[in-house]
Amino acid sequence: MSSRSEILGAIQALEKREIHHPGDFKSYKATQDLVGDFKNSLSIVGAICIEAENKQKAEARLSEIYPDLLRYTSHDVVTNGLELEAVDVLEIDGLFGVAENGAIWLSDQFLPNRVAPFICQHLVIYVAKSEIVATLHEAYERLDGHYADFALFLSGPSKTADIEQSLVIGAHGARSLTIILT
Amino acid sequence: MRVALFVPCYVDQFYPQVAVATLELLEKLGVEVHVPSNQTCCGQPMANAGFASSTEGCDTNFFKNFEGFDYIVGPTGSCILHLKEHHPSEKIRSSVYEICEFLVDVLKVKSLSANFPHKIGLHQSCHGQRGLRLSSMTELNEAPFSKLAQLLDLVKGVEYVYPERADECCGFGGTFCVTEEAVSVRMGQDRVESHLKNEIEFIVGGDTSCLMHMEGILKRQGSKVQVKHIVEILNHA
Amino acid sequence: MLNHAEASEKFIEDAERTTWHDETLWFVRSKRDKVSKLLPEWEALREQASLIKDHTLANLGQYLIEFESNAQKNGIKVHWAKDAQEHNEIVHSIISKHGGKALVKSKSMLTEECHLNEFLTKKGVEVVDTDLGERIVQFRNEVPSHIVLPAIHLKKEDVGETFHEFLGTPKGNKDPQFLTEAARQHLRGYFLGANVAITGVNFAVAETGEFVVCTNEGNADMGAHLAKVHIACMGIEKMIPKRKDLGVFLRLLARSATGQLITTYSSHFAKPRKGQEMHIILVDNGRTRQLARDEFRNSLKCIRCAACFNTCPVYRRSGGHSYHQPVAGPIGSILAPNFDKSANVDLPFASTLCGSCSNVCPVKINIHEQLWFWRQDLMKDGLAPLGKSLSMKGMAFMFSNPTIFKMAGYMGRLVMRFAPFIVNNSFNPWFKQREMPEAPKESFQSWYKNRK
Repeated sequence: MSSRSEILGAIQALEKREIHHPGDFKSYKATQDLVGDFKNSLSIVGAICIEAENKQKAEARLSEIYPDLLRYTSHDVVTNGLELEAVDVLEIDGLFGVAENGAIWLSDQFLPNRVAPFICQHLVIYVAKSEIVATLHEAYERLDGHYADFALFLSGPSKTADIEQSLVIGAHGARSLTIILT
Repeated sequence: MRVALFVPCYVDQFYPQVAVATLELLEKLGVEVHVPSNQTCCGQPMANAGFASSTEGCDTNFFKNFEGFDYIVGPTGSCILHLKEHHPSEKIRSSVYEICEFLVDVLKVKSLSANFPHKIGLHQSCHGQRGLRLSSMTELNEAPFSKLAQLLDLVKGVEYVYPERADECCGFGGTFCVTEEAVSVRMGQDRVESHLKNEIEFIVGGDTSCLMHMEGILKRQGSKVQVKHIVEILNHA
Repeated sequence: MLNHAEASEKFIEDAERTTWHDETLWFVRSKRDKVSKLLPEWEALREQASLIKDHTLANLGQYLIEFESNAQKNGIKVHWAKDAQEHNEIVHSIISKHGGKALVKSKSMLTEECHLNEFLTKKGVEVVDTDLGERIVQFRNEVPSHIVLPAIHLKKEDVGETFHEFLGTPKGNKDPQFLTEAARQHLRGYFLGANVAITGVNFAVAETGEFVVCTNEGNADMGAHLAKVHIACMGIEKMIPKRKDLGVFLRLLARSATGQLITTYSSHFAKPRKGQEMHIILVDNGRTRQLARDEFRNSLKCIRCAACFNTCPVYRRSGGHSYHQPVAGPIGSILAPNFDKSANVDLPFASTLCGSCSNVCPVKINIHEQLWFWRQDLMKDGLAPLGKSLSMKGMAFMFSNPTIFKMAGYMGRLVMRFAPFIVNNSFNPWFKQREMPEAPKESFQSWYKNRK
């Protein structure tokens, strides 16, 4: 007998228990100030946040934050076949943000490749102020029926506290994260 | 209302003053208290050591002594919790009360004549707090309350404070106190130290076993701080 | 092997380090308290998570089949392993096909449970743990002492020394920032060169056939997205029915674990990338046995957040290694007897039953009650020698004082039945570091008789 049928057989041999799924969960209070809460969460998770009406306006601030580094867009990476390790700053688009935890939904449909947001040294993500939801419940509500081959919630720069619980930013992924709210 | 006093075995032998205070306090409040003379132990020491299957004699004896009462009241949260959770008789399970629980929920005591002009550290024993829900628990997102504090608020002169980590376990834990001696003692030392930081004169709680453990540590350290069961305060003239 | 009490005694000998360990983990618990209290729906979320898991466990077979079918449609190869041995062999056979000599692995408690590293090392495969804490303990030839903070038993001086030895960092440098950077550089090479990456799984979604992996460091993603082959290893209890359920669990997981709002990366893997092979191994290894036990079934709801470790006053003062199991702490103590009763008979007793663990558990496992049930189960099985020593020491304390011993005939009989040698044994562990209570002149009962 295969292990598959052995395992499923062992489960099916158990007494049937009727326990219903509790249904979808509704968060208690929708936040009134989505952008304000989102910005607050970003500061808690260690991300830098810039408000800019458009990409041109963001330009100046980005040059201040990353003065000596070359910045690339997804388009650069795809068309020029860049060695990803060589990418200092990568600018990408996020689909939407989550106010309660500063997470941004990134889908591989909009990434140059899957490893890009992890392997670059610094990451910049554009998110529209109109695209912020209150909690993860609203986030999955919004994602209902939209599937990606690979996608993630990203919240803050890579971090670890594995040595004596001292927080260190920049473990394996990006050393800094800048969110540009347009 | 037929009320029986349950005196746990080690209280009977080592801390009779706690049982005396419980009895006197209830009588002051106008309760006629019966003390079944053939009572022994609730069975918890054996059950927590894994021998619940051997407490049958103990359970039967408890039943014989206490079946005829509306309320069975005792001064230790831990023993009461054990009876409430594990005694085979539904009648027993539903009529046992820890003393503070009984005072607040059944007698609904609104005033006491007690006076105790001292600063005390309040120790919330786990089985009373988490098991019997005598007070709110720091782990949960819930409104704070404490039946012990509610009663202390009725005592003249007493000032009570909580240690840091208000509801951390003292490390007694039944047979744990000897089978895991090192951890048990270390937990007790830490608990005592947090209380002492508040410059208190007494550590006060609702579970005599925790108090016995902390008393053993205090005495070994040569500390002048004493332990007292909360009923001793509530009954203090 | 030392039992929990013996190992704890050794741990506590270093009083200062014990204080540090206790305070550090308490700080993590405090962070968890803080963020959980910011959510008015916290207790409702825990209830929701608990109900979803109860429902899933009651329909586990159906959800496993649904997951398998959807994952296969997504192009993921699904394997089933009934035990640790089969799991390890499946992993090895996949690696063999791809000729890899080294693989990168992110945190997976399942692979620890299966002792995969040991197995593969014997077969000549180099396993590189990429979570910083796991890499540190791997260098030191130790095992993780905590499922979320694997190196929490170590001080930065220890890590500095280890990195000096293995990575050539300057002797005496113990700066966490510097040491983390050294690990980043060291592991980047492995990420770029590895053919095979292994990850754990936090949640597998039956509805979509996808699985979610959560990390803060980004190591799971660095491994999985660069390697030609991604193997995800999971216990069958990691299943959840629907994608929307993820909202509940991801809100609870990081808040419970570290007091974060969410982990940095919550990656949803649905399909392999072009040219990549993706495997998932569904492992039983005793889980169906646990599923059949009414008292212990809901231990399978665990999402491995370790909140119960951080709150446990015993764990904080005894360290993870005292539990001699890959999963330590309160949850480990109720999982371990399922694997081997006699080897783990001490663990359900490594608790005061204070109940704090059950209160912090995001999926509401009644951990402290299960500890009690395991005690009954193990003693019923007559599991000496700990059982014997327990009754001996426990009863010794209770009955070493003649006042108590004389108390009641039935108790005397109990002693005679369980521990006859006690009566003649003066050894009393209570007295080592505590004074005995003073015996009063008369008992309450005798006072009461005279009062009348």
